[in-house]
Order: sequence, then structure tokens, then C-alpha cells
Amino acid sequence: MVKKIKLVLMAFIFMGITSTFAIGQTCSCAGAPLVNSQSLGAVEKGNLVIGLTTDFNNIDQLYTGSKELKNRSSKRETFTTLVEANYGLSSRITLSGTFSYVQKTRTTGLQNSSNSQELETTGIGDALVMLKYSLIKPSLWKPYQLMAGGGMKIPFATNSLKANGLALNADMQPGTGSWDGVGWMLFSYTVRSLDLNVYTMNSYKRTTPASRFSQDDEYKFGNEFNSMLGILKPAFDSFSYSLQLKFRTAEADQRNGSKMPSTGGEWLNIVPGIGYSFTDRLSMQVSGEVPLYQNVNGTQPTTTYIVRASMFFSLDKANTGFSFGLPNNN
Amino acid sequence: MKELKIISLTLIAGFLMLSSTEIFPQSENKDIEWVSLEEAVSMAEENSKKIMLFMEADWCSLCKKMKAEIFPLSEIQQKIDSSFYAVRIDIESNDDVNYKSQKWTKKELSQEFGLYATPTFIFLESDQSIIGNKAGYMDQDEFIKLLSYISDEKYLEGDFENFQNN
Repeated sequence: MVKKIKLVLMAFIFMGITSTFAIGQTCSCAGAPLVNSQSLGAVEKGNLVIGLTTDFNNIDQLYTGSKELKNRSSKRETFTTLVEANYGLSSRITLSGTFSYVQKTRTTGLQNSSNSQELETTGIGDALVMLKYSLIKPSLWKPYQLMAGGGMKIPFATNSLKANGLALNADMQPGTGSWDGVGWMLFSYTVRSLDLNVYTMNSYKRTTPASRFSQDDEYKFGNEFNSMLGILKPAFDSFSYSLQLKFRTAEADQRNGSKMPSTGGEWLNIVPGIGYSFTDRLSMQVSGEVPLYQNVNGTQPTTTYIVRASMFFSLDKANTGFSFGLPNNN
Repeated sequence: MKELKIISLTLIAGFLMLSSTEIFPQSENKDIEWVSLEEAVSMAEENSKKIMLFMEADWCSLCKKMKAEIFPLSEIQQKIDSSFYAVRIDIESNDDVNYKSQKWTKKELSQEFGLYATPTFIFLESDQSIIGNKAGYMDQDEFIKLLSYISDEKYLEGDFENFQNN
């Protein structure tokens, strides 16, 4: 717990020095954190915004229910690189694609350091393709927006990796092997008097079973719901800072139709972050994430902290130059 | 649980503290001679000055930054006073304004103009025809160049980006 406090305080001190924003999250199960990494909303027609994110998830706590156990024997670290591209198909429709590369390291035998063993898997992760529709577009006189979207998680990654001839657990595989449906929504409101943006982003992932190793072995990750509530405030010209609460609930996984013990649960995390805009077209975000509450099914290793850094490149023609006529002629 | 409370309270207190920080001093510039649109039109008809509309909003931090950091500069004031009639339009105001012999509220006029960002500068000829517009914050150099581009009628020769680069 002392580590948690140190991490939060370090993030907080950094915020105090520079002051600003960010958005982020990951799952503590398997595959890449695709759904929760959706950091962008609407993109104007013809514009392209590309986000490059690195996400480090340190899973080295052991919980039973909401209680931490001190006799953990293993830990896992997941390092994910995500490329997220958003393209404005029309004034209201944005096409979004997120692609991933995953590196996972599991260390076992921690109770006896001389016997600890490390296993690493790497590979291309799954991808997520979504269409987002702006139901309410913000304007100078309407400081709020509502977007809804849906898409599919595409199983590009393998879910049948072996090590030394032995089948690896689902949580060490780069992908889940399944085609999953995703529903997504974003609502944001700008409190002008405070120059503060309040937003909520929610998603639901409905999973499907996937065969692995042999056609007889079918694994299905639990359906999951993610909800984020955040505030974002610009500060000191090019900086912004944010604070986000993230709630995630996942059903238990199933193997060959039977519920897997010690899978699924509920997590509530807090995410302070900062952002900086180098130019109109280039910005970065850094965030840290620590659990506030977790209640897992059975006994599971779970996230201690997540650190995430993103760069965003906007390949649009920044609409800040002089133009002839009125703004509505642009 | 106690540790969680400490973390949460620390973060919330910090966020509130940072939120209360004033980004830009809200000093009102008294030196640029702001006039109403009606006054600007009336005076512009009598001489060759252009009209500069500064479209702003109370909540617009970049508008405040322009007012605090750029408008008080003597070079800017001299350029505006010598070549323009400067008009401030609050895009949310319900106060009336006359434009091209028609009565609008300032909010209606801003919507009619199709504003999408603040601040936006809109430049008019003395007969109220529109020359062009530029959105966003500008530093001293860029703003001076824009004012010269308009006052010297360089817009008749080419676009602003080329003028800036020459």
C-alpha cells in the first residue's frame, strides 16, 4: 500500500509542477487493453488522428474477494503497444481502428527467490474496429456532445501459444481468439465557468467462445462492462490535467461451457493524468492508474498499478489560418 | 481503507487546488479604443479604415490571454488605432447590434457568421463587406503581420501564409 501512495504522490507532485490531462485503462485479464484504450471521440470529416500508446500493467498483487493475500507465488507484467487511428468519414461518423502488440512476462516461484522462473510471450495482439456516431455535436453555444458506437474485436493474435511443449494459460496468450462485439458511448459537458470538461465513457464487450490448441478446447472470456467518469481541465497554455474514475466488471470465463474458477470480478481504479500540446497537431498524455477497490471472484492476481503514455498526431489541416469570407464559408 | 481515503482526498484536494488557479490575469485593456459596431461602421464610411471584430466569450481563456498579453502592447495598439476600428462582440450576448441595416442580437450575429471557435477575428471593409477571418490565439508577431496584411490590402495579392513567409 505504501507503494501505491508513493506512486500517487509522485504523479500528483508532477501535476503540481507542470499542471494538466490524459485518458487510459487496461484489463487485468488477457489480450490487449483495446476497449479501454479508446481515447478519442469525434474527428472532423476528412481528418485523421493517430494515437501511439504504451501501456505497462503490473499485476503483482494476489486477492481473494476484496482482501489482499500476502502469499503470492507469481506476478505478471504486461507491456502493450497500441496504435489507434480515427478518421472522420463524415461530419458525424468516425471510423476507429486500434491495433496492438503485446509482451507478457510471468514470474513464478516468488516465495523462494532462488527457484523463481520467468516466462515471456510476445506477439501481435488483437484489433478493434469501431464506427462512432455523433448524436449531439458540440458548438460554441452547446458545450456538450453525445456519441455512440459499435464494433468488433478482431482476433488477429494467436491464443494457442505453447512453452516447452506445454499449453500456456489464457492469460499469457497475446490474444483471445474470439470475435467480440463492442458497444460504446461518450458524453461530455464543458462547465464554461470553470473551464472544466466532465465526461463519461462507457462500453460493453460481449465475448464469444474461441477454440484453441485443438478444436475440442473452447475458451470464452467473460463479458465485461467498463465505465469511466472523468474531469479534464486545460491549464497554463499548453497543459491540461485530468482525473478519472474507472469501473470495470467482468463475468467469469468459461471453458468448454463450464465456469472457470477465479476469473471475473469488479475493479474500481483512479487515474490522474497530465497532457501537453506541442503544436496544434502533436500532443502527449501520461497517466498513472491505481486500484481503489477490487472484488475478484475466487483468488486472482490483480493489478497493482498501470502506467501509460500516449502521443497523438493529428494529420488534419489545422483550421487556424486566415481564410477569406466568414467562418461558415470555410 | 484508511489509505484509500487518504489517496482519494489528496487527489481531490489537489485537483480543486489546481482548478482554482487563475490562468491569465483578467486585466481589461483600456488602451485599444473599442467602439460599437454601429460607431465603427459610421466612422469607417468617412475614412479608409477597416473594421476588426473581436469575437469573444466570457469563458474563453484564449480571449483573456489575448486581452492580457497582446492587446496592451504599444505596437499592437498603434497599429489598430491607426488602421482599424476595433469592435468587441460577446458571442453569447443578447444585446442588439445593427449589421447591414438589420437588427441582430450579438449571439444571433455570431451564429449567422458561423463561428466555430473563440477568439475569432473578422475583418470588414468600410462598407461592411467581409474580407476574411482568423480563429485562435496569436502571438505579437503573427498578430502584427495579420493586421498589416489587412490594413495594407495584401489580401488582394495572395493568401496570408505566403505573406507571412515573405
